[in-house]
Amino acid sequence: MNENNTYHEGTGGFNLPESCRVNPFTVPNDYFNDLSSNIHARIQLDKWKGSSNGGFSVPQGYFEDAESHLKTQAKLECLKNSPAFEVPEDYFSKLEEQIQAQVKLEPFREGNDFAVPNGYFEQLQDRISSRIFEEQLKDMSPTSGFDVPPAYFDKLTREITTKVVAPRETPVRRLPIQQWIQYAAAACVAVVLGIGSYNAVVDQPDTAQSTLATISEDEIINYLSASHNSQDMLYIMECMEDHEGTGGICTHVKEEDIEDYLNYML
Amino acid sequence: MEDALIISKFADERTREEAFGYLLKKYQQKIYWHVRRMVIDHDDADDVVQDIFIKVWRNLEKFREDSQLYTWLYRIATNECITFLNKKKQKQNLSLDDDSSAYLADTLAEGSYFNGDQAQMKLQQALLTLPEKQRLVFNMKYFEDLKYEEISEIVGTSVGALKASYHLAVKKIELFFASND
Repeated sequence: MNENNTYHEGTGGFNLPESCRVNPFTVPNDYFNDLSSNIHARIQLDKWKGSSNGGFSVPQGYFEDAESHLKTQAKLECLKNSPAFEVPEDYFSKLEEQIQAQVKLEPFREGNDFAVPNGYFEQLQDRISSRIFEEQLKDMSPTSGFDVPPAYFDKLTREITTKVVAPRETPVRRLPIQQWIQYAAAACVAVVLGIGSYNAVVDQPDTAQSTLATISEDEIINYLSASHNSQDMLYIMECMEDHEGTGGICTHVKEEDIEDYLNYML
Repeated sequence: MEDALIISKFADERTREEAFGYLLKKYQQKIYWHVRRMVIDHDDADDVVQDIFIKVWRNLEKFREDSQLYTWLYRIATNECITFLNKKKQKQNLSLDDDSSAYLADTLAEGSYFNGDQAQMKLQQALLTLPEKQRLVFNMKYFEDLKYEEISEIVGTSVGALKASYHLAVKKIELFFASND
């Protein structure tokens, strides 16, 4: 007996209704586009999963040096936090001032402000060679070569001392000689003239002597005081002092000599 | 004894001779050699040195201390040397305008009291070819080792001129040695 059911009506050979032939499932966007690259990536990962270090490598000797490297890093970290370097006292307080001073000097660093005389470098070699010769000369001839007699300097001291000290042992007082000599000389001449005139009048009338006799004593004194010569005065003084054997002051002076002297002085 | 003490003792009549004795002891050799190198002959140097110190005795009271004592002494000594040498030139009927010291060559050649060697004689001969003042500057710089500033105070010439004069003197001596080898 065939079952008479409606379950299989319109299903054809599969016995399903047409409405069931629609796929009710969905997939993400671009799923099938990315699917092949995803599958390849999974295959590659599977390959690496199989290796011992998971695909990573390290430099040679890395693990042997790792310990010392880590210790050094640790020390540096400690030093970073501790104040290893020191600065002088008040360094930072003076630093600004020093920097400003350096800044002010900066323009003067460039160029050379010193000058040299004209032709200095041209003459320099010449001067250096002269200095070299001078040094050689000093080696050859350090002293002048002159010599002195034995004990000369002791003798020199004595001689100089004698010359400078001796005159002071006999102090000489200076008198106001000039005025005194003037009048004394004038008196001397006046006396001589007077005597000469007298003799002339008595013995030989002589025009020259009579001319002299007419000159007054005051005029003679004034003339002598105005035009005296110290050498002559000294000579007259010596004559005045030398009384012995002269028969009186100025008596040995000839009248002609006196007249010549007076004419000379004119 | 310090120069200042010598001057102050000299100012007092009671200690004047003592002060002068110290001054002689301190400076007579320096002044003598300064003079001797200029006048060459010992006897001439003796006369000039005595004249110098007699002048010092007479004028030290008036010394104003505007320079060092030794520069004052050197100035007197230098002036006396130049005066003496001028008189010597006059006696030999030489012109005072003739600046060289060649007239002293005979004195050097004949003079006694020279115990130098050939090099020293040659140097002295070379020096006599220089003008008097240049020779003076050379002596003070080379033999007496005075500074240019000190020499300037003594001779009254600028330091620059003295340096030039000394340099020229050395050059002339160098030429003399080269041509008289």
